[in-house]
Amino acid sequence: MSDTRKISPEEQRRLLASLRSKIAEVSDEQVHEGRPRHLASKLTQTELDKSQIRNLENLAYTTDKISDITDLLKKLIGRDTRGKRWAKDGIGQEVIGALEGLRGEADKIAENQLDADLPRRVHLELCREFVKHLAAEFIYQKRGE
Amino acid sequence: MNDQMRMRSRVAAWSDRAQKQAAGPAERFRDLLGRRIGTAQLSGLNNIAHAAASFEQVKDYVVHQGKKAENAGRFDVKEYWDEVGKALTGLEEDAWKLATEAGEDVPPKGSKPKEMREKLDWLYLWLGKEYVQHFVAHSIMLTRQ
Repeated sequence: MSDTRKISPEEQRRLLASLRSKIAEVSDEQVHEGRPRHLASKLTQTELDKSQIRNLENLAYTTDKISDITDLLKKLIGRDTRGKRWAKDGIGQEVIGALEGLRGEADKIAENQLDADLPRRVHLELCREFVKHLAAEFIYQKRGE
Repeated sequence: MNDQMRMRSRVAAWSDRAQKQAAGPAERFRDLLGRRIGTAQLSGLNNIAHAAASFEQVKDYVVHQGKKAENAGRFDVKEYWDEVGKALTGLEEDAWKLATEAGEDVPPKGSKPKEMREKLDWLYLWLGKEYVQHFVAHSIMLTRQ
């Protein structure tokens, strides 16, 4: 992993602002395309409750690794012995697939940067955005329950 | 960013890359999962990796599990634990590379294992925990399939 090349504070601020803007754009596209809504709708057909979705969201916002998020989902799928929560109709696998699929967008956003770890960090940010939309949709669709 | 944070960031990047690599052995032995290798054994490995004071303790546990399987005539399970042990030993090379890239004070390549261990055991153990988390999470998921 190479370190970020030395750039001026002004250049750094510009780069950060540009990355934030691109991440926000992709985040809005996620909502527009409706994938989080579709998955949230499937999740409402399971026995999952709001706290379990919030746990996923909390982890996404506190970890520095995408693999921590997908590892949690894998363990939850495996432990769902009755197949009524994360293992129901392959929903957990679908969420993992959606998160992993954001890598391409992250690579595009971070291309031409000298920091080799940047695409991974952008990918993590996109996963956080996705999980945030997923949780919001789930809680919205579960309102009144 | 201080040295500790920089190493944390390097390990996070390594860990995200290693997730796919850790899924390999789990996939190869998927027929044993949920039958010959239960979630209790997998959780046992995860607990040992996270509680161990040294990387040798984790490797000793894996060797012990292999011997137990061999004594019971369960040679397929013995092969499984041997594969886990080999994967863990392979992490020592990765740890050396990471430490070298980070500019840590590391013994030159080809130094005695004892000398390497004295300097790098903390990093062996760190990578070991990450690897075992990925391996166990993927294996637990496969027990459902």
